[in-house]
Amino acid sequence: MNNQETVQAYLSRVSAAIGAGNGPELASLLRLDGPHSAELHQVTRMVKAGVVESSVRRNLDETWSDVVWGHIRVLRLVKTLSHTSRGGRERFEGEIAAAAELQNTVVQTFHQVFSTHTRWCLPVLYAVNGDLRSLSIEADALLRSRGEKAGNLEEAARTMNKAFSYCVTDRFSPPDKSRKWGTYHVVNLLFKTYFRLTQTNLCSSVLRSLSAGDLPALERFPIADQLTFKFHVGVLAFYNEQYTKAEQDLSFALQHCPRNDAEESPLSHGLQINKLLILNFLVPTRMILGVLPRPELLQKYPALEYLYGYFVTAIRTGDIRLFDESLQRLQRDLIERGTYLTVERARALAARMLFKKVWLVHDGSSRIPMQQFQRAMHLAGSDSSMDSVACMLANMIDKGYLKGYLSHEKQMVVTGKEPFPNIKAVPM
Amino acid sequence: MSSQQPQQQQQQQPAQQEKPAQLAELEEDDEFEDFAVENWTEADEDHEDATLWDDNWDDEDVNDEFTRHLRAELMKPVQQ
Repeated sequence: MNNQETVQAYLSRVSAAIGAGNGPELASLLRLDGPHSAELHQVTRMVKAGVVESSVRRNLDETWSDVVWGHIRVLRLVKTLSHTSRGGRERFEGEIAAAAELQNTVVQTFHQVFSTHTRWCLPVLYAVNGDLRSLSIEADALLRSRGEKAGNLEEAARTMNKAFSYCVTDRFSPPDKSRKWGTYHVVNLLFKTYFRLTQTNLCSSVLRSLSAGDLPALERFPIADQLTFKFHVGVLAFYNEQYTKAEQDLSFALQHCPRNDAEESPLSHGLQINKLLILNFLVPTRMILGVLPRPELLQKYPALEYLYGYFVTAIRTGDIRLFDESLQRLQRDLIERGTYLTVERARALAARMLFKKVWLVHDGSSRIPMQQFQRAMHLAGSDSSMDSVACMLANMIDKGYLKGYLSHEKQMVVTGKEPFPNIKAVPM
Repeated sequence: MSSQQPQQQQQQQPAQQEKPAQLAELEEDDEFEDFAVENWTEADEDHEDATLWDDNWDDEDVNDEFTRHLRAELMKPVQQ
C-alpha cells in the first residue's frame, strides 16, 4: 500500500464506523494509541498536509472532517511510546506541548458533534478526553522541567467539564440511548484530574450538578464507573473528616474490586495500585472508627504495613510512645499520602487504651487518682506534666472515649460503670 | 524508663523500617487506574481484603508484658 492508500484505508474505516454507529471501533480509530497510529504518524509526515486534508474532507462530512483531520494532525506531532491496552497512562514522544494544545481543540470540536449524537458515541468521548488528559499531563511535566508555565492540564479540565455537561444535560435522547450513561465515567476522569491539580474543591460543584441531573441510579451504571466514583467521593469525605461516609464509600470500592482482569496473572499492576489506594484511606478511616486491620492484611501490602503498622500496634497496646515516635518518623510519608491529620487524630485511641489499662489495673475502680494516669504515661515513655494529663483526660471525656468527670479538687478521675465504651459506639 | 520496654517493643513492633518498594511505586504514580473492562459480576470480585479486619480487639485479654509491668508499677506506693 502506498501512502495515499494507507490514508484512504484509514478514512474508509472511520467512515464505516460512523455510518454503522460503531462506538468502540470509532474510538479505537481516534485514539492516539490505536492500531492505526504508528503507521499514520509516519505516512502523514511524508505526504503533503494539504493532500491528506482534502482526502479527509472528500470522505467525511464537515463536522467529522474537522475532528478526524485534527486527530491526524495530533498524530503527526507525537508518537505513542508504549501501547497500553489497560489502565496506565500513555507516554508520548515528539512535539508534546503543541500536541496537547491541538488535542484540546480536537476534543472541543468533537464535543460539538457529540452533542448531536447519542450513547453510541460514548467510547469516542472517553478515548479523546483520556488522550487529552494524558497528553496534557506529559506536556505540563515537560514545560515545568524547562521552567515554563504549565497550564495544559487546567485547560484540559475545563474541556472535560464540558464533556460532563454534554452528558448530564442530555434531555432529548431516549432513556436507553441517552448520553447520561457517560456521566460517571467522565466525572471520574474529571475528579482524577482535579485531584492531580489539587483542586478538589471543584469536585463539589460537579457533585451538585450530579444530584440535580435527573440521572439513572448509580447502581445501573457499569460497575467500573461505580467503583471509581465511590473511591473518589470516599476520599473527598475523608478529607472533609466525614469518616462514616468515607468508610461506606471506600468499603464499597474495596468490596467490588475484581479479582483479576480475565487473562492476566499474577495480579495486574493497575488492580494492585487501585486496591492499595483504597486501603491507604480505608485503614486510617476504620482506625478512627475503632476497626483495625488484621496483621494478615498489612502483610499483604508492605506499603500499608510501613505506613500504618506501628499505629495499629500502638492503639492495640496503648503504647503512646510508639505512637508518637512513629508519627514523627513517618510524618512526611503520611503527609504525602494525605492521611497525616487522620492518623494524628487516632492518637486519642492509643491514649484511651493506656488509660483503660490503668483502669483495669485498678480493677475497674470508679475513683482513680489522676497521678496514676501520669505514672502510666511516664511508664509508657511519654513524660507529661500533671496539667497535660488532666487535659488529655478532659479531652477524652469530651470526645466520649471516657465516661466520667474530673475532680480537680481531689485530683481524681471519677468514672461510671462502663467508662470505656466501645469505640464504634462513640459518635464521630 | 525505656530500659523496661525493649522486650515489649521487640515483640509487638512490625519488623519493617525500610521504605518498601511498593510505597516508592505509589509515590511515582498514585492515580486510580481505569479498569480493563466495564462490567464484572460478584463472582469475579476479590472479597478477601474485606474480611481481614478486627473489630473486637478492644475486648482482647490485655494481660501482656506491658500491662503486667504497669500493674506492678501502679501498685507501688506513691513516693511523695
